[in-house]
Amino acid sequence: MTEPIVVTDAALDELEASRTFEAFYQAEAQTLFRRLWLVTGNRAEAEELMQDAFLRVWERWDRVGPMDDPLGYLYRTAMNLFRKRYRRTMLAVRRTVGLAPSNDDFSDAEDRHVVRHVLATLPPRQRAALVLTEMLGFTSKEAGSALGVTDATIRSLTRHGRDAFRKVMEVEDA
Amino acid sequence: MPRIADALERESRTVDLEQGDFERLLGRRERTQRNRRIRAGGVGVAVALVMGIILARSLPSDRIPADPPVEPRPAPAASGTLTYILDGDVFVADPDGSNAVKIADGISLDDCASATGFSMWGEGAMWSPDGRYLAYRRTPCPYTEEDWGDVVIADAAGNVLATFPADGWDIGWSPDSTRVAVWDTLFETVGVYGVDGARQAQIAMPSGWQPAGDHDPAWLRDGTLAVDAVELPLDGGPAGSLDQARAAEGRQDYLITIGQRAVSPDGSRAAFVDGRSLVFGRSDGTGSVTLLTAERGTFLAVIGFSPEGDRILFSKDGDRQGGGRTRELWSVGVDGSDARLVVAGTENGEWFVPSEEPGDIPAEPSVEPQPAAYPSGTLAYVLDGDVYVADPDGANAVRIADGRPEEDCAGSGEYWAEGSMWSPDGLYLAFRYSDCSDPDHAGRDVVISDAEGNVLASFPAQGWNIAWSPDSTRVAVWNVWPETIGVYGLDGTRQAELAMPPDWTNSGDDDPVWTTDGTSLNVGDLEVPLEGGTPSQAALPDRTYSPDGSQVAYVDDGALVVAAADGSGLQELVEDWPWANGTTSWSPTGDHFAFTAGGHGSTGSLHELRVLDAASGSVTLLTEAQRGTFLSVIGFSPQGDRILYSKEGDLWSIGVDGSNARFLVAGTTEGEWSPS
Repeated sequence: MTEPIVVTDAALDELEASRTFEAFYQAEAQTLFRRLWLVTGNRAEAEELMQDAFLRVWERWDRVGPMDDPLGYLYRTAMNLFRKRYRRTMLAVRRTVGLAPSNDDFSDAEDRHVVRHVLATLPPRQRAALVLTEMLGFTSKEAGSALGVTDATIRSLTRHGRDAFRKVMEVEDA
Repeated sequence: MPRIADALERESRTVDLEQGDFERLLGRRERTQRNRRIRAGGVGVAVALVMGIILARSLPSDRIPADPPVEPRPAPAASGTLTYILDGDVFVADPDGSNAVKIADGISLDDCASATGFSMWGEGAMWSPDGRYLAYRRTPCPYTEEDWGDVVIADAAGNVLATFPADGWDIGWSPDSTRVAVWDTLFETVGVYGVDGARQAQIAMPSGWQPAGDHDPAWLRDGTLAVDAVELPLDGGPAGSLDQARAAEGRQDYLITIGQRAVSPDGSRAAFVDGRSLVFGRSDGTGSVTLLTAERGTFLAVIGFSPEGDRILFSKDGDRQGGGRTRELWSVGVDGSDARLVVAGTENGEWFVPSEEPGDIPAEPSVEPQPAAYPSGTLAYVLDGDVYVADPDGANAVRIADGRPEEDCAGSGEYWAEGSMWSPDGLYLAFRYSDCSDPDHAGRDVVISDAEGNVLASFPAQGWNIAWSPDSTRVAVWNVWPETIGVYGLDGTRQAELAMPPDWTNSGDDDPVWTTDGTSLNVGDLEVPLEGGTPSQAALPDRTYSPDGSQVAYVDDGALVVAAADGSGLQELVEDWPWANGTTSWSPTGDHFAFTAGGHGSTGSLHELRVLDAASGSVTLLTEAQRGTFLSVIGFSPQGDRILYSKEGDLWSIGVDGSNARFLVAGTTEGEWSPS
């Protein structure tokens, strides 16, 4: 006679939670990755930040999963991580080796990549502000909370970004 | 014109996640969980760790933090804020009595005999000298003759910080606002209590001492505690007599306490009660004029001057038609004009007046005892909205600030830190506090504490990093980003406010950084002099020298290089170094240089930790993270023998020879060893 398979309630709960989380991940990972790529201009960093954000959400899934807006929590976490990482490395580099030219994916964009050209002219924080407000529909206050700045700063950041886009798009349309 | 969102969306679709991304996430999770298990096992068992912390808290050790953790000090009230007690309730209001807010709900004395609860009352100063706290009394209802009730210490919003039983009337605030003195047993023993309600000392009056009035314990401006003319040493020594000058000061203060006299904030003017008249004049007693005279049967008591010194708050206590008394708070201009009723129904009230009198400001910096120095290399880190200190290897962690975690707090823990927390002398920590109950989560107070979590100061600020001055006596932060910078002492006093040029445009969210001589602050590309001169172009450290000045590191044509200070012996460490993701650190003696490597240009994921031996020029790969993930160098140990770094969201350390890699703390990349 074979031994009965004993699965504890706790293990079943964990399995169910994991499946729910995996479905959440599968539904949202690609989009989050792409938006983080727009912000960072670096595929490796975008995936790293995306994984960090999902890992944090996973660790708290029992509380985040039932939230009304787990997606909002995911994006706030991701942008928080981006902001921290961006500032830490900028600060470390400035202190250690001074300023250096930008070298992200957008900096060597060919002429036909108009959007990339515009993105290359924007610092990462302006890109982040645009992604949050234009693509995700965050209010300035919500975006400010995610990026650790005031809503007035978000408005300033997005204004610069929008102006840059409008200029090239109007030229394209003309 | 296409919408920006559409354009961005189209562009973003040009990149895709690589296959197997969820499996990579699974792998990271498993590694993290394994590391945590190893960490717990490394110190015995997880239970032992928890029990150790519990045991540590129960022993009289220097490592015991305040328990419960000391909350950041409340913000000071606005200058001139009125507090008063009416019908057993406590209120705060605008200086003219308007916009009153009840902060403590009590029972009027008339109803106290038949109701259950507390009736609030107060005599003398309620505001602490720094305006952060209120002290008042509460009597339990139904009232009994034997029970004096409790002292209550609260903030201006009514949040009660402490209650403890005490006798007497006035509550004596220490000049530094850190404690109060009251009668433990009337005319026999005096108790000194912290704002957390902990009794710090109990001092017996000399045998044979007879009170010459309803004296309560009071502090002189130099911090001496006295009752009448008896000096009460806080160190437990025998009580003695005040010298003549301080006895005179004590008498003047007693007159203030009982409403006979008040001194203007600048010390030059005084108001006093002469019979039924309120008199104003110079504080030396010359040039007095009568401002007003009360009707027969009405008693006046002078309470204090307005912060500007242009008005006087006083009380009236008179017969009421039909019986009883009429009690009112009034204010009047120092020229006798514009007498106004402030609050009817009470004679207990006070304006908060920030101290300006020279005698109130110690000539020397605050004489707070310095905290005990922790061993160099003590690890401080932030995790789930809390702040911890621990042994260098992460063991024996003690939570020194208890905040709400990210998921309860808009994605960022209640306590948080970016950049350096330890002061250069290793005595203090600076970190941030964002009130989670604020729906916008916009506040970002600076908290300065010692390594046991005793909060020295808390004040609102903006920005992110907190910049410690090289001499550890102050910090610089954005007051208003990116317009003004505040320089604050360890006690939270703002010592300077520096304005950025109006046309300055910031390229990023730079925080101020002190120059090594402590005379200026660098912000982005500007150097801002502390004495308020015109900001100038900063000499940006395009070359960073090792601590002994013999070596230099910089980026040359995209490569990370080191060389001798004279430029000779140039050595390329990483070609096409992805600077935006790179982190580096010199060891304290300059014999090693740690840096991240492993990626190239924009596709780089710096997952390797390498170290250069400056003497031999050899570079060693110490460790690496999973390919595709990042690793960051945080710094060297004070002895220079180990490196603190973060990997995959956790804190690690490793020997400079690559030996003995240790997992320190899971779930955070914000940590730092204290300097030597």
